Formats: sequence, structure tokens, C-alpha cells
Amino acid sequence: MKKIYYFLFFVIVLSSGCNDGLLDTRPLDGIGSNFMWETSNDADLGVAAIYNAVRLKEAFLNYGLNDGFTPIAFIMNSGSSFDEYRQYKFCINTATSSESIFKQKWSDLYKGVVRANDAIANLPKIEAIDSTKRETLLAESKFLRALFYFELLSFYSGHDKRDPGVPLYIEPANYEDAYLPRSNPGQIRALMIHDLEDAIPHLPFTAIKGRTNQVAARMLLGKVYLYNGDWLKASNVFGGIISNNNAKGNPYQLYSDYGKLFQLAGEDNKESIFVISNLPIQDYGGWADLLYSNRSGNCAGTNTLIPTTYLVDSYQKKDGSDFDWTAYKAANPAFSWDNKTEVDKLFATRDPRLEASIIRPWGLFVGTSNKTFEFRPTYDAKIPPAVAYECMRTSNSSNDHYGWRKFVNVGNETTIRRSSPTDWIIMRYADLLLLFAEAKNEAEGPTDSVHWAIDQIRQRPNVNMPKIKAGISQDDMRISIRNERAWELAGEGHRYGDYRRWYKYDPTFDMTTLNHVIKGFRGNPVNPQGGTRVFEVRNWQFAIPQSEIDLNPYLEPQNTGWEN
Amino acid sequence: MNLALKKEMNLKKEPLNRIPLRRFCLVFVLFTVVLFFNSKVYSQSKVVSLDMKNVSVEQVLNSIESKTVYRFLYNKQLVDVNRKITIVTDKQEISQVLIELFKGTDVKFNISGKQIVLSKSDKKTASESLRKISGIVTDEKGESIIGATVILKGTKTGTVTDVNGKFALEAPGNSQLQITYIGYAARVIDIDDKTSFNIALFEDSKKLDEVVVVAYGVQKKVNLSGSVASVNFENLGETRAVTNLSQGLEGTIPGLLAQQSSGQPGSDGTSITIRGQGTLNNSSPLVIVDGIVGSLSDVSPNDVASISVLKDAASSSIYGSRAANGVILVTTKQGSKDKTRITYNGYYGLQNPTFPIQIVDNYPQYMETINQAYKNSGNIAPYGQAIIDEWRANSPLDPIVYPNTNWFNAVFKPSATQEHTVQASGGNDKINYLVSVGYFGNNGSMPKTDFNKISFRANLNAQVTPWFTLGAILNGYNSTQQLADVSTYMGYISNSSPGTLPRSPDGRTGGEWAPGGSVQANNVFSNFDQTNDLLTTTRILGKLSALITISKNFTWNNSVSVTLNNGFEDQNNQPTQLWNFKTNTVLRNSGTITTTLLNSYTLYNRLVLDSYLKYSLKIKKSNTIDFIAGYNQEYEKETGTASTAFDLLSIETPVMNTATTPSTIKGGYADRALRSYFGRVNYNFADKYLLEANIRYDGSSKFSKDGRWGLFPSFSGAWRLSQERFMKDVTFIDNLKLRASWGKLGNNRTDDYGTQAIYKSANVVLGEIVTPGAAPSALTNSTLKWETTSMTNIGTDFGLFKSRLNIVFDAFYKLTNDILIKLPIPTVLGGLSAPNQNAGIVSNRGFEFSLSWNDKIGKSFKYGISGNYTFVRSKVEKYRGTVATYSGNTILQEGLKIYPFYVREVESIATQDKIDEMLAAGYKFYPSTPKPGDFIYKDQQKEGETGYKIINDDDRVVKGTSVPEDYFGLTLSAEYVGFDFSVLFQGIAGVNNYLNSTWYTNVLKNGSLINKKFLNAWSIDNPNSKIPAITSDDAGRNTAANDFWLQDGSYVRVKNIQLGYTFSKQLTKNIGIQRLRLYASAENMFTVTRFEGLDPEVSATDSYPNMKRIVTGISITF
Repeated sequence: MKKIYYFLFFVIVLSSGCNDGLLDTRPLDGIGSNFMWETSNDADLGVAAIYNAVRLKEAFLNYGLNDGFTPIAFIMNSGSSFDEYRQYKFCINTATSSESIFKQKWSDLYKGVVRANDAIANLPKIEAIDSTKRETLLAESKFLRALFYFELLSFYSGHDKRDPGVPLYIEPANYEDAYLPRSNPGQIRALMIHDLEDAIPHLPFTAIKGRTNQVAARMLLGKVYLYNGDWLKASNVFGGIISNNNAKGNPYQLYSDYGKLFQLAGEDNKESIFVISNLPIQDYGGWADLLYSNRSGNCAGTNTLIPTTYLVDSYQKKDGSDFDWTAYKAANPAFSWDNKTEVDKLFATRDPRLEASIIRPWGLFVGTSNKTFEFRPTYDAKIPPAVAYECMRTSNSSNDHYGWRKFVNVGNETTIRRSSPTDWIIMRYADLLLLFAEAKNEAEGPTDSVHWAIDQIRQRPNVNMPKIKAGISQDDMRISIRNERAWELAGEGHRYGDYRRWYKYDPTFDMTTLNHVIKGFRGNPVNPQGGTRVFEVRNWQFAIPQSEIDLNPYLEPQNTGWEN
Repeated sequence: MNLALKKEMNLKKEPLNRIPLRRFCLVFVLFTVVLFFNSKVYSQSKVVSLDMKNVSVEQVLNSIESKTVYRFLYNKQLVDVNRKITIVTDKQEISQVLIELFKGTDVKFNISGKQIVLSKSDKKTASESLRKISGIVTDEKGESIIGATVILKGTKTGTVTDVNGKFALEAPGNSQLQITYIGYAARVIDIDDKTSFNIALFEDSKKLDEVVVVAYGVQKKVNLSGSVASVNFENLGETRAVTNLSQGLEGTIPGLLAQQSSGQPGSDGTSITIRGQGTLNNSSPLVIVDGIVGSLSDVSPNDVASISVLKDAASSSIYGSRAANGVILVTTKQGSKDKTRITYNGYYGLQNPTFPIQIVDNYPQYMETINQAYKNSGNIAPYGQAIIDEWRANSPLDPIVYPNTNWFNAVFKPSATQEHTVQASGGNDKINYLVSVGYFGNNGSMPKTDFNKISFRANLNAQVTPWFTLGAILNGYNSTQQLADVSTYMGYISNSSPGTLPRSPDGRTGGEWAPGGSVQANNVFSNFDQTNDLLTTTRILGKLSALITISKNFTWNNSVSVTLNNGFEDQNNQPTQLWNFKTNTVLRNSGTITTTLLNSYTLYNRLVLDSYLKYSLKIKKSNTIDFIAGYNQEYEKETGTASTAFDLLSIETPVMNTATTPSTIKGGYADRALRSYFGRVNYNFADKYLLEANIRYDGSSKFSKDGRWGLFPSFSGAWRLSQERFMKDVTFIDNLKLRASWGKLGNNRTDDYGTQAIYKSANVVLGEIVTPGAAPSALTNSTLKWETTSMTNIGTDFGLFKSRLNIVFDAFYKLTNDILIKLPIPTVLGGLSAPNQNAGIVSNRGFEFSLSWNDKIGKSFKYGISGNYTFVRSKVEKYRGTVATYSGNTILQEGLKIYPFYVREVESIATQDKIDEMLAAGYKFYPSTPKPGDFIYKDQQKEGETGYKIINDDDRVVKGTSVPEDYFGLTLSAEYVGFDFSVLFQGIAGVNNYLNSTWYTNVLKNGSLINKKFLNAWSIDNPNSKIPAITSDDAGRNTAANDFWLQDGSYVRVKNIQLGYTFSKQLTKNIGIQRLRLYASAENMFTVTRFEGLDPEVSATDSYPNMKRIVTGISITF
């Protein structure tokens, strides 16, 4: 009898375990796809995720490193993990199509595209949402998609109709469908224009930091035209923004202090149009501080990107004339890098943006522990009171190359090494003015409005450089604008795109002018591990990642010069 | 007859021998009872009171046993114990009782100590030549065997030996004595005219009656129809210093490859594959510990009784969806009835890396070599002659300022390892127990890698009622592991300079100060100082089982098991400084800016319910059919949180509350479930023809609702030719069996939620506020289903020359379909991780055999040799057509092996003339044109083909293999008067390793170590070298995947050597010790290989090297 009871007992235990739900497990650390895109909150989450892709390192967070591919800056082979994707190899032209930088940027940018496609496809299906909000979110998504495609074209194809294009995905794709060939730049341009024109009416003129707005969308539209050589359309779009801004009482305007613009203290300025908002929290901060700063910074910076002597020497003198070493040395025979007074004198005569952007020998820098450091051109370990200031130190201790001041935090502002609180600027009003000047000059020549735009930049209150000479030719104006972009936008990562726009199809351009042995201010090669920039035709574009071509042969042919 | 006889002899409690496991235990119990019978004097009563009416003699004997200390030994065939009798006694002497009991029968008794032997008295009438003979039965060591059966061959007359191993009986002179004893080979001896005998029995380790643990039970080895190998690990704990149970499997089982890919204490288990890599993903076997899915590291080597490896589909398909890669069954020791034993096992020893890397440790030489590499690349040499000379002159005088550091030797120091286990076991008729507690300490050879573990186990069995038996297993451990980030540290070590002092006498860590030296050069000791990382794991496994005996041949087994694993990782970091000892100033800060603290908790739990019925049906005498049917369900859940905070009050207060910068917190979750039904039928006809069928029906939460359930059947059959009449005359064959099996197995090793798309956190800062975002995290496949493997096996077992020679041979063919694999997908999908797909077919074919010979020379020299060899070759039968997938330097493509290497072939080392000549001939080189001293690769295209005269990655060819194809093991053993000696060899062949990173490259980096091999690199002065010239910037010219870096990974290793001495039982018995053994054992002592890396078993360049280990140990049983 007893056995029966046990039997029954066990049957009960067993059957209670046999609930149907046992095998229906579901993850709790995410939202199942069946439950996404249903509510207004889901819409916010989905669109925030696209912005999250903007702050991926190779999308826009480390955009400044792109300057390293041009003569104004260089990416040091630090031998450590900070040159994460070995951009250095691209600088010295030893990269292969399998280099991780190619894959990383491709993947980061397409990640943005995928998220934008997801939002654009699903936002219209949400019923429980205010329709204005829906339209705004949709507009933001379209702007962001255009932004990612713009960068994809820039790096992997070029915007010209002769360029090979990149694959174009405009809808959510499953893994079986991810084998499209490259669409030509015209098709992609059409999508970008379509997206941006759709978006512009639904975007606010200004928005909170980190979100996009109408001005950013119009500026991107202008850039799309500009990169296609559509000067008139571009100048109309840029000009339209400026006059519209004017009419609205100038919500966007140049910030009075050029140096502070790139500092935490100047973060809340009216010049920034579209930024990555950073906080001193792990995963939500910037990397520029780490990559630009020196060892004496609180982040123990790595000097991964350094400004070149080419850039520093190019800054004009305060009177607007070019700087010439030979002439300067002749006039100042006592000059020596070891002579503080002489060096101070040299830099006192130059465009103030030089000092604001770059830490030069004998310059002061407030670094870790809020201590003031002096950048002595030979590193020494002397400490006060024997000397006035402790010696600032470059990452490789050589102290023989320039360092950035732009985007480098002051004192203890950085509390977490890879999480700088300073915002990263993607679009700003000064850039807009220069783009306008460029488009207008190409379309109509050096008109008054061209002069007005460039002089605005030069005469920012604490820059106050002389105006561009009146009556110069279109060609001279072109050179002025191009130089102005280097001085104004140094370290912001736009130069590589500028070069492609200006020179890729310019038959008169001598590419060898881009090649330099990267030297410190004393004239010694800065990087004992070999710092000679080599720029060939293939360096106009990144390679399509080799792994990507391996998987999808429709992407062939590989960009010129990257065929292994 | 011996086994059956023994059973009849002593085991009168009928219900106990109903199930095979029980029978197995009883054989064991009997063995121990008889062998270790206690013959001391007892003070307990020798008188007994009985009042029993109409009962069997057996019941009376039982009653006496329960009331007194006496135990009976008798042979049921000789003594009729079923006779009914009435007996009343009142405190009578036992001898009087027995006289009364056997009055009027031919039974005589002999009381010796507390043992009473019943035998037939010799009342033979008018026996022509009966005479008294006597003798002693001993084992090969000369120690008496108690309870051996001695009968006159062909009759029922006989006796058993007493406590001194002696026997006496009357026998006719022309007859033979047959002596049998369990575990020993039977002997037959002519009596002739001798009257006194000294008979030695020899252990028969290959008894045909050997049983092996199989799925849900045990089976006689001879009756197996599937392919099962088993190892007896009873003595593992007192012979070898394995730091993880899985190491004990290396080289011991045909078809099984165990390799230890890291020597890091606490992470030094082996990776195991059975019969090759059957799939493109995880191919480690399923491990079942005492019936419950587990892991080999859950079990202390001391607690293991045996390990069975189920290799073919027939043996393992009853484990269904998880059995595709084979099954390893671990059975732990159980307490023995009647006998209390306390055993201490312990060892202590030292260990050192197996292969030190030969690096340039002379700094002047280092500087010169770096300079040369830079010059070769057209770069400026970083080191001036002044510093080189300065160093050379001063380093003998001041090695603190001018060190010549060998970083490998500085980091890896001999370290201690030890283990101590105390085990107590015992029991009685109703209850048996085994309790063990152990301490294992393994100090890292690298700093901050210590591992300590305290483990415990309690195995209990209790017969509550005749039909209800309870079992309880409680097992677990608490371990602390210093979680050094070994691969990162190995990277730091390789990125160091010999000119850096690891640590000054006062404890400060040095930096690279020499002008020209790389400031980035690491000092791993400062990293050791920076980080404390301790993982504390508490793991508890419990199992409660209930065996219900419904009838004699019908049982019902139920169990519930829980596993609880609690992990706590406590990591704190602090900044450190590197010093310039020349100027005595801080050179640079190292590591974090601020103090940081990471606390990470993980919790894993699992609940398993298991229930099965067993029914055994006997049809006539020789037909047996056994049935098993059961149900099983498992549920697992993992959760965890990790928080990080910064700026502690002090590094001495590494607790979250003392952090001044707020922390980030992350958490995770995963769960999975499995539900199964299973069954088995065994048919045994006269131990001659054996058939078996298994089936399992599994449902897993990992798959889509439609593809969730899988059915896994298998069939096997065996024919024991040696049982056939026509084989009777072939006397040298003891056992000959042919086996064949086929079955289908499953594999569910895939992501938990592979069918469900998930949006995970992708937050962003908008307007200075962290704003939540959600983005798709991975691509999904809603049609996901099982991966299935079908496997065919044919095999044969031979036992020859009285089982001295045993041969097992198996050939197999394994085909895995619907392989679950994450096919690489284009990153245009945003780099989302690829979904699993059921794609691809892989086959494995091969054979394995094992051969063992055990014999003795003379009386006391025993020796044995056993070897095994496996060959297995994999082939990707179907993949993505002609499209290949590349992973590192390997290729996965239809028609090839699994991931062979795909490399260019080096043709020669370039000279300027050769380069000029080729350029002139129109050759193009990618990624760039070689310089003198670089490789020239073979152009694989012929004239007229695309790519001719273009040397690029299209010239790669398939070479070598990354999965070993041959593996083998060999054990030699010998015993001589208490001494035992054995050597275990293990090796693999048919495998390559690609070695071109960190220590093994001609691309020298200032601030990174240089392998001495490259001192012999090609140069103008050394034009015959096959090693490419050293360079500082290779640009892929020599580092493009090529066969120079492909090395033969074959090796033969002396895995273990041991020498032990067991003291004579007679000697130790006097001091109360049953057994005393001293031993010395060495692991990984010698290796023959051409591989130049850290260790052929480790293969990776950034792993913790394997250890040579020498220990001395002691094992005492009380």
C-alpha cells in the first residue's frame, strides 16, 4: 500500500514539474523583438540607439584622428593599444586591406545605418504616439542615416560619379539579404538628399545638445552638394542657413574665445551645431583627451595624434603675412629652442589660434593634480622649488614634438581616463561659414559675402587676425579658404575630407607634397619607429575591409591600390 | 562459478542483490570483508539466546550474526541452510548452539576468531584412499587469502580458507584441487601424493566478470555491445599529482584526446575531444558525475572510483541532445559495508614551466640587435654606441642600474603544489557512507596566480525498508583563485626590455631609462603590484535519490539534484610607478590614474529531476531482457552583477562604501531548460548474442517551438564468438567478441536565445543626461533546430592467453548534419553578431585500438604494458559551396579538413639580385616588394593563368591541419615486492601550429623581447640562414600568412613517471595501519617535439605555460 502512496507522491512531484512553460525561456536582459516598437517609449529607445552609434569611436567619437591622414597631423606608432586600429599603418602606407581600422569604421558606420533603417521602418507602425513626436523622431533618424552614408561615401568610395560607391541598405535586412553590390554615389546622394529634405521641415531650429536640428540637417545637405561640386546649390543652402539664423536673432554664432570653445569650460556655447555630448562616466565620455593629451595630463595622455611642424609653421604672423623660418632665423640669430625668451617671442608674433590649439615648447599647461607644467624641450625631472614648474612630458618622453591643447582637458577635469567630459564637436558655425565661403567662391568668385564669411572667422574677438586682402582673385581666395580651414579646424578631423574634395580629381595636384618625414620642432624625426608619411593614390580612400569582400564578392572590385 | 558461488555463500539478505549496481557493490563488499577481516580478540559475548520455531537454518544463522560478533562463512551448495528447524537456547555457548543446530547432518563447523566456517564433514564410507591434505592460499605477495574456495575438482566437496588462509580437507590422491577467489585467476592443482600445499593466487585484473559503469547502470564488460572504455581511478589520488581530474585522462583512453592548454592554477583542466572534432563548434563531451550532468573539475581526483567513456552512438544516445561528442561518466567512491576505513593521501612538490623561452637577455646585445633591425628597415637606429658601451662596462658593477634581465626567468619561479585528503568510509547492512575532505593548494609559478581549494564530499546510502533505499550525495568546494589576466601579462612580458630591472631590493619596480629605449617598455611587476584580483567560488552539488524496489526485478529510481555556484570576483587597482634607478626618480606612472574597485557576483543554480524504471525479465534460463524507461528535466539559471567604482579612500579599504566616485553597475541573466524521455532495451541470449536499443526524446528551450524536440535512437549488437561451442577448443582465446552499432545523437551547444531577437541597451548622452536607448544586439534565426550526428561503429574485443593479452579495436564513421554554426555575415548589418544556422556537414572517420599485456616473471615480478592509438580524420562534407571562411590563418571550406592552414609557401630568402631579376621579369609583389632578407613566396599560378607573376594572397595553399589526427598513449608498469613503477607516455601527431606573434617574429620592436632564434637571422654576413632578416617594420612582407611560421605540433611526452613502495601488510598491521604507501611522481618531465613555442600542448603564445611537477606523497589507510 505504502508503495502506492510513494508512487502517487512522485507522480505529483513529476507532473508539477511538467508545466508547459519550462521550455519557454526568454531573456530578461533585453527587450524581445516582439515587444519593441510598440510604444512611444520604444520610439525614444530606438532613436536614442542611433545617436548611440554616432558616438562609436570610428563613427564620430574619434573623428579627429582623421587629421592624422593629412600633413597637418600624424598618428604616432605608440606601440600600445591606444592607436587601437593601427591607423598609423595607414599614415605610413603599410596597411593592407585586412587592417582593423577599415573593418571597424565600416562596421561602426553601418551600425548606424542599420539602426536608422530599423527606426525609419518601424516608427510609422507605432500607433500609441503623438504624431508630431513621431515626425520629429523620423526626421532625426533620416538625418542620421544620411550622416552615416555621407561618411561611408567619403571613406570607402568618394562622392564623385567616377567613384565606386558603397552598398546601399534602406530597409532592415536579414542576414540572408546582406550581400548587395555597391551602389554608385549618385544613388546614395539621391537618398541623402531625399532623407534630408524630408527631415528638415520636421526638425526644430535648435535642439538639446547631442540631438540634431534643422541647421545640422541643412548643413549636411549643403555638404552633400559641395562634395559633388554642385557649388551653387551648396552656397544657396549654406547661405540660406546664415540668413535664416540671422533672421531668428542668431541662435548660432561664433564663440568669443577660440581656445575655450574646445574646453569643458566653453562647452555650452552657441557655436556648436551638432555635438557628441560627453559626461565623465565610463562609456559616456570622450577619448580625444586621452589621444591628444600628454603624460602630464590627468588622463596620462598618449600623444597618439600630434600636430606636425607643417601645421605649426603654416600659421600666419599676426599681421597676416606668412611665417618663414629662414627669414625669422636671419632676423633672430639668438633663437634656440632651449632659450625660453626667444621661443616665447617667436610664438607671440603668430596667429593666436596657434597658441590656443597647440602646446609649444616653453608653453604652460595645467595638468594632473591641477599643477602647472612647463613644456621644456628636453624632459627633466626637476621639481619646484628648484624650478618654477615641473616639466611637462610627452608620452614618449622625447619632448621634441608639439602637443595639442585643443580638446585637452585642464587640470583634473578628466576623472576617468577614457571618459573625458568635454563634448566632441561634429558641426560648428565656423565650419559652416567656411563651407559657405568655399561654395560661394567656387560658384561666383570672391564676392563680398565670401570675404564677409572668412573675415568673420579671422576676426573672432580673441583671434582678431587682419581681414583678407580685398580684391584678390578667385584662386587666391580659394587658397585663403583652404588655409583658413587648416588653422581654424585643426585637430577636428575635417582635413582628410577636405583634401579628397579638393585634390582627388585635380590633375594638377602633386601628391608628393603630402609626404613628409614627420619631424619634431628640432628637426629630428619624432618617431624612432619610423615616421615617414607616404601618400599614394590608394590613400585617397580606405580599403573595403578584406573580410567583407571575402564574404560578399559583389563588392569587388576593391578600391584602387588595395587589391592584395 | 566463482562469482555465483560467492554470492550464494555469504549474502543472504535477498533484496540486496536485485540491481546490478548493488551486485557490483556486493562483490566489492565481499572482497573487502574477507580481505580485511578483523581477527582481533573481542570481549563481546560468546553466548547466545535463541527462541525460534519452524525457521530455516539460514534464519538462525542470521539471528546469531545479529546477536553476536560471529560471522558465518559457508557454501550454500555444500551446506543446506533451507532446512526447517526449531531451536531454543538460553545463554548457551555458541559451539553448543551449533552442535544443536547441525545435529544429525553432515555439517561440521570450525570457529576461528569471530569467524565460523561451516563445511561438510567427511563421512565418506570406505573411501579407498582418502587422506588428509592441508595447505595455505596466499596472494602473489605471500599474504594469506581468507575465504578462498578450495574444492575437489568435479565434485561438490570442498572448504574455504580460514583467517590465516589455511584449509584442510580429505581427498583422494588422484584428484585435483580447484582454488578460486574473486578477483584472482582460478588455479587447478594436482594432488598426487602431496599432503601439504602452498598455493599462490594471482590477481586477475582483466577478469571477464569486470563490470563497467554505463548509462543508468552497470554492465558486465563482456556483455557490452557498444564502445565503452573505462579506467579505474581508485588509486589516482595516491599515485599522481594531477591538479585537475581531467589531466588523469590524458593518454589513457583510445579515442579520447585530452590536452592541457594552460598551466594556470585553477584554470588547468584539459580540453577533451572524443573521436575527433565532430562539429564546427564546441566539441567537448558531456560529463555525467554520479548520474548528474557536471564537470570534471567538480570532483576531487581522490574521490573517483572509475571513469567510463561512452564513445559510440549506441552507448551514449540515451543522453540524447548532448551526447554527440561522447559522454564521460564519473562514478565516485562509496562506503563499504562492515569495514571502517580512514585514509590519508597527501603530496607535496615543486613545479616549473616545461619550456622556458630562449630570449635575448643581454641588454647591450639587445640594443645592437634592435639597432640592426631598424637599420635594415631604413630607420634610424635608436641606441647610440655610448649607451651600449656604458652598459657593457657597468652592468657587472651595478646590476641595479644596468640590469640584464631575463624576463621569462624573472617572472616564472619554481612554486609549490600540495594536496591533502582525508577520507573515511564504512557502513553496515543498512547504511554505508564515504566522507572526504581535501585541501589543494597550487601556488602559481607566475606571481599572483595562486589557487587554493577546499573540497568535501559525503556519499551516503541507507536502506530504509527492504524496498526503499535512500541515497544522498553532498559535494562541493570553496576555492580562491588569484585571477591574473595571464594573456595580458604574457603580452606585457613579451613587450619588455632586458634593460629594465624587475624590482630593486627595496621593492620598487624599474623602468626603461636608457636613452633610445622605449618608454612604453613594460615592467610586469608593476602590473602585479597594480592589481589584486581574487575570485572566490563556492560550489555545492547535492543529490538525493530514492530507489524503490517494486519487486525482485522491478525497480524505480528517482532523484532530485541541485547545483549552486556562487562566484565573487574582487578586483582592485592602484597606480604604480616605474623608477629610473640611475637618477633615482620616477620615470613614469603606470596603470590606472586612480584607485578602482570592481566587484562582480555571479550566481548559477540548477535543478535536475530524474526518474526511471528498470525491469529485468528472465525467459527460461539463458534469455534476459532488461528494460529502462525514464524521464528527466533540467533547469539552469545564471545571474550576475558587476559594479565598478573609483577613488577609494585608500587601497587598504577595497570596499564599495569607500569609493568616492560613483560606480557603474551592470548585470546579466540567462536561463535554459531541457526535458527528456528515454528508454532502453537489452537482450542477452546466453551471454552469446547481445542486442541493445536506446531512445531519447529531448526538448530544449534553445530552439524554436517547431524545432525544439529531437528523437535520438540507437541500436547495437554483439556476438561473443568465444562462447560458441566451435570455439571451445581454441583454448588460447578467452574472449572474442564482435560488436556493431549505429545511432543518432544530438548537439544543443548553442546560444540560449538564438531564436529570439533582442534589443539591448545602447545608451547615449543627450543634453547632459544619459538617455536609454535600445538596439538589436544580435541577428536571430527563428528556424533553429538540433545538430544531429549519426555514428556507425564496428569493433572487436580479444582476450588471449588467459586474459594476459587484451586487444580492443574499433572503427567508426561519424557524420554530423545541420551543424550549428555562426556563419560569418557581412558587417553591413552593423557588426551584429551572426546568428546560429544549421549549416554544414562534417564527417569524422577513424579507428582506434588498445592493446595490453600483463604478466609476471617468477613469483613476484609483475609487469604490464598497455598502449592505445587513435587515428581520426575530419572532412567538411558540406559548407558554403566554393565559398570559404577564413579564421586567422586557417580556412574552412567544403572538401577540406576542419580549419587547415591556408598560407603562402616560402620559396627562398631574397637577395638584391633575385629581387631585381624578378622585378625585371615583371613580377609584382603584395603587400610590398621584398627587401634583401625577406621571404620570396612561391607563385602558385602557371604561365597563362590569372595571377601569374603576381605574388599575393592568391598564392596561399592549404597546408597542415589544426586538429590533431593521431593520438596515442602508452603505459609501462612493473611491480616487485612492494615496489611499483610506471611511466605514462602521451603524444599527438598530424597537427600544426602557427607561431608568429609576440616572442616569435623577425619584426623586432624596441621595448619588446627578442627570441634568440632571430640572432641567427639572414644577413649579408649570414646568407645561408633560412630565417628572414630582422626588421623593425615588416609591412606584411614576412608576416603575411606563410608556411615558415607553420610548425609541426607533434610531440611525445612522458606525462607521468612514478615510483612507489607499499609496505608489507604484515609489517604495518602491527602498528594499526592497513596500508602504507610512499611514492614519488613526476608530471610532464620529458617531451620530444620540434615545436618551438611555449609548449606543444599549450600552443598559444600568450597562455600560462604548462608545468613540470615533481611530488612526493604518502598514503595511509587505517
